[in-house]
Amino acid sequence: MTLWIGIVVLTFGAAAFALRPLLRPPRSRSSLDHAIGFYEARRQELDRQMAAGLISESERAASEAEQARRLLAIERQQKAGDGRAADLRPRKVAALLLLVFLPLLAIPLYLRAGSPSLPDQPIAARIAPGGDAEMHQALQRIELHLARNPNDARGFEVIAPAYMRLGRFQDAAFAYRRVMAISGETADHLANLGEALTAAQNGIVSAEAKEAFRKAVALDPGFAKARFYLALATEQDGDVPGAVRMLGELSASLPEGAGKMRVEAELDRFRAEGKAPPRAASSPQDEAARALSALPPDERARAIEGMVDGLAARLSTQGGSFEEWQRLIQARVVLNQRDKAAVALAEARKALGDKARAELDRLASALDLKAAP
Amino acid sequence: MIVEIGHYALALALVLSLFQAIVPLWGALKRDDVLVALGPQAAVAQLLLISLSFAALTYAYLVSDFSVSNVYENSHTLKPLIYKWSGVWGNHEGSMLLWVLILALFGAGVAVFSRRLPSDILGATLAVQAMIAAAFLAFVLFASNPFLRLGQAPFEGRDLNPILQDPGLAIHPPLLYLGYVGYSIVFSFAAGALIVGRIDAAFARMIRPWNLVAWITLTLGIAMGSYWAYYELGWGGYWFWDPVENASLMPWLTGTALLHSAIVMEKREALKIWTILLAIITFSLSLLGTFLVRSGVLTSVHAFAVDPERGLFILMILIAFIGGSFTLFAFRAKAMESGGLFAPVSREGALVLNNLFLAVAALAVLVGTLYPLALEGVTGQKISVGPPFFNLTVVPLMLPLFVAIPFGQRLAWKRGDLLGVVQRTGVAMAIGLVATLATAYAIGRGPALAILAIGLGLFILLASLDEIRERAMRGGAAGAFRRLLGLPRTFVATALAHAGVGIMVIGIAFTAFEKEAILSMKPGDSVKLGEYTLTLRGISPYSGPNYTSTVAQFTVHDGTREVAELRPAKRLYIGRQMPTSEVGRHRVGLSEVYVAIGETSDGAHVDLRAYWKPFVTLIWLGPVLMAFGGLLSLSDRRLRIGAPRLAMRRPRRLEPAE
Repeated sequence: MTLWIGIVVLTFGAAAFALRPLLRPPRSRSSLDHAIGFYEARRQELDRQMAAGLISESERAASEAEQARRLLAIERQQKAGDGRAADLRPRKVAALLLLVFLPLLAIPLYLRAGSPSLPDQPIAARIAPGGDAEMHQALQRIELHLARNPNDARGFEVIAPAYMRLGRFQDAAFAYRRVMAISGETADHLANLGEALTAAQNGIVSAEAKEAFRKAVALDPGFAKARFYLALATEQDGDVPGAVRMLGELSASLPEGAGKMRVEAELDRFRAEGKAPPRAASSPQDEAARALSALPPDERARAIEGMVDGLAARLSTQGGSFEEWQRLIQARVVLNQRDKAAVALAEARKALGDKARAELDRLASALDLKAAP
Repeated sequence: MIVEIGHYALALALVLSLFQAIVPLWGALKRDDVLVALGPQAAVAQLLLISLSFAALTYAYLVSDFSVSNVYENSHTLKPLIYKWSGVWGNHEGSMLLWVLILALFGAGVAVFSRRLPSDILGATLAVQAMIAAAFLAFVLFASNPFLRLGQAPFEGRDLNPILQDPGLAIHPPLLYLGYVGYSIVFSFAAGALIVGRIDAAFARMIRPWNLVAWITLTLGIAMGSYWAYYELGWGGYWFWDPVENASLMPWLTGTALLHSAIVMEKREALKIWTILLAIITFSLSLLGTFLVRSGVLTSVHAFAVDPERGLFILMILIAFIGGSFTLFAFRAKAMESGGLFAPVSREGALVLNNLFLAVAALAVLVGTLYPLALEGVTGQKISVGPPFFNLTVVPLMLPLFVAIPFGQRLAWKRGDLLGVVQRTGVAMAIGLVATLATAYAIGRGPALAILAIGLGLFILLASLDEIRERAMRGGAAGAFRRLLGLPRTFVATALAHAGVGIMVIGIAFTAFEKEAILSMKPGDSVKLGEYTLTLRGISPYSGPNYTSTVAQFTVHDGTREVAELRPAKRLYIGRQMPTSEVGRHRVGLSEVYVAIGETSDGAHVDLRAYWKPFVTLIWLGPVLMAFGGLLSLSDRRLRIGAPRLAMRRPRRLEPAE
C-alpha cells in the first residue's frame, strides 16, 4: 500500500514539477538579443586585451570591424520572432498530455517487470538469531576457513550436520569423507556418511552407503544406526525376511527410547503386511499394544492419540517425572504434532524446573525442537 | 519498497523524456517560449528521478538485498564497503543506469547553466538530448533492467568479478562515461543548431564548456584505464590496442579535433560545417564504443556483458541517431555559408592540419577495430589486427602532428609568418636538439627513432613553456610580470596542455629503453635489471578476506645497497575460483621496478616477469597535465576572439574555410 502511495505522490510530484513553467513563465531571450549580447561581450573583451597590452590598436580595430560586419549580417537575417505566442492551446495540450500519459504509460511500464508485492529484503533484517540466514552466514565463515585450512577435521565435523539440516546431503557426505581422510574412520562417522549418502538418494541405500554401514558395524558390532540402515538395505535388496530378522534382533538389543520406537515403527510396517511375526506378549504394555495393533489403522491412530492426550492431561494437572515428560514429547513428535510437542516441552521446563534443564535441553536438541513461548 | 520506487522512478523518467523530446521542440518551432521552458524543467525532473532510481539500487547493494537479481549476481556480504558502492556500476545493468544518470546530469546541466541561450536553440537541443535519453532509458527498462527481483532471495551473492575489485574500478568507468556521455550534449547542440538552422560563432561558444568537460573527463578516463591495466592486469604494458581501448580512443581523437576546430569557429567563424560534422561524428563514435563494449561482439577483458540481443538494441539506437543526424546535416549543409577566410599558413590553417591528422588517425583506429569484425561477418575468417597495424598507421600520423604543435601555436590568425615562427621556436629547438644528443650519449646505444622521439617530446614541452615566457616578455622586460598575470587563462591552458603532450611523448619514447626479464626463479636467485638487482627471498602463502594467495618476497638492490622489498602475489578468489595478480612496484623518481609473478607450479620455483621501466610515470602525468590545461581553460569564462593581423600590403589570395 505504501508503495502505491509513493507511486501516486511521485507521479503527480513529477508532473507538477515539470509543468511549473506554465504557471510562472520564465524570462527568455530572443536569438537577436542573444547575438547582440554575444558580440557586445566580445567587444568588451577586445578592450580588455588592449588594456592589458596583449593586442595592438590596429589588431583591435580590425577585429571590431569584423564584429560589426557579422552583427549586421545577423540583424538582416533575423526576423525577430515574438517569443510569446498568444495562442494558449498548445500549452494546455502539453499539460493534458503529460498529466494523462505520465501515469498511463509509466505504471504499465513499471508493472511489466516490477514486483510491487515484494518488500525489500536487506540481509540484516533476514538474519534473526537462530534463523536460517544466520546459520548460512556461520556456514560461510566455516567454509572459508576450511578452504584455507583443508586439514581441519574439527571444522568438517562441525559443518557436516549443518549441511544435513539444510538438505545439502552431498556436501555433508563430502565433509564426512574429509573428516575420515584426516583423522581416520570411526563407526560414528561411517554411519553418518552412509546416512548422508542414503538421504542424497531419497532413502535408497546405495552400494557405497551400504559399504560404509558395513564398515561401521565391523568397527562397532552393536552400533544401532548402522544396523538399522543395513536392515533397510537388505529389504531394498529384496530379502524381506532377512530385513525383518535384523530389525527384530536390533529391537531386542535396544533399551526403551526413541531409537527403539523408530525400529518398532519399521517393524510395524512389516507386521501390517503380515510379513513379520506379531510382538511377543511379555508385558501388559505389550498386551495393550497388541490390542491396538489389532484395530483398523484409522481407529488405531485415534486410540493412540487419545492415549497420548490422556497422558498430557495427567502430566499437566498432576505433574510427573522426567521420563514421563520425555515419553509425551517423543510421542508428540512421532505423531507429527510438533507444535504440541513444543508446548509439552515448555510445560516440562516449567514443571521440572532446574533439576531437569540439562536433560530437557539434550532431548530438545536431539528432536530438533524449540519450546513454545 | 525502496527498490520498487527506484524502478518506478525509472519508468517515469522514460515517459518524461518522451515529453521532453516533443514539447520543447514544438515550442521552438512555434516560437512559444513557455513551451520551450517546459524543457529545462523536465530535464531537471529527469535528473531527480534517475538519481532516485540510482540511489535505490545503491541502497540495495549497501544492505545486500539479494532479492534484487542484479545485487545477487554481483555482490557478496563479505565484500568490502567500497566495492559495494562501486559494484553498483561494476556490472552491465548498473553501468547502463550510470550511463543514463550521467546523460540526465548533462541534460540538467544545460537546463541550469544555459538558461540564457536563445530559446529556440535551447528547446531544440534539449529535445534532441531527451531523444537520446529516451532511447537509453528504454534500453535499460526493456533489455538490461537492474531492478528485476527474485521471488526467493538467496542468502549469499555471487560476488563481484575479482579483477574489478580494485579502487581503479571505482573511478575509471564513471570518468569514461562522463566523457562519452558529455559528447551527447555537444551532439544535441549540433543537432539543435541544424534544426533551427543558425550556426555561428555563438554556437561554438555554447558548446565550449560541455566540449571541455567531456574532453577532460575522457582524457582522464582513458589515462586512468591505461594505468589500471598497467598495475592490475600484470602485463606491464600501458596500452594494448585492445578494441575497447580503441573504442574510447576514437571519440577522444575526434573530440580533440573538435576542441580545436571549435576554437576556430568561436574566434573566427570559420570551419563551421566541419565543426558540426565533428560534433556528430564524435558522439557517434561514443555510441559505437558503447555498442562494442556492451554487445560483446568483441572478445576482450572488458566485455563482461555478452548478450547479442542487447547489442542489437544498441545497434538500432546507433543507426537511428547517426542516420538521423547525418540526414539532418545533409539537408542543412547547403544552407550553411562558409565563414571567415584565411590563408593556408595561419593559425586556422594549422588547426585544419591538426584536424586532418586527428581525423585520419581516428579513421585508422576505426578500420583496425572494425575490419576484423567485418571480415569475420562476411567470410567467417578470424583475424586479429594487433599493435603492429596501429603502430604503422597511427604513430606515423601522430608524429608530424606533434612536430607541428609548437609552430601552429605561434602562428597568427588569418595569415601567419612561418619563417618568423620557426625563428621564435629556435631556442626550444636548440635545447631539444642538445637534449636529444645528450640522451643518446647517456644511454649509449638505443633505437634511433626512440631517441628522436625523446627529443621531439622535449621540444614540444620546452616550446610550449617558452611561449608563455615570450608572450610575457613581448614589449620588454619592464611590464613582463604584469603581462604574465594578464595573460588569458586559455592561453596558459593551451601551453600547459601541449606541454602535457610533450611529457607523454617522452614517457612513451622511454619504453624503448626498458629492461625486461622473463624467467623462472627459486629462492636465492637474482636477476639484473639495468642498475638494479632483484633477488627472490622466498615464496609463502597468504590469506585475505575473500581470497588466498601466493606471495613472493623480493629484495631490490642498487649496487650493494638494499633499496626496497617487493611482494608481488598471485591471488585466487574463493567465490569465483578466479586468479588475479598483484604486481610489486618500486618507484625511483619517475621510473619503476615492476615485478609480476605467474604460476608457482612446484612451490619451489616461481615464473615471473620483471621490468625496469625508466620514466614510465610520464605516460600518465602527460594526460593529467593535458586535462589540467582543459580545466584551466574551462575556468576562463571570458570570450575568446582571435584578433586578425591586418594585411600590410596587398592581401594574398585567401582560401575559403571549407
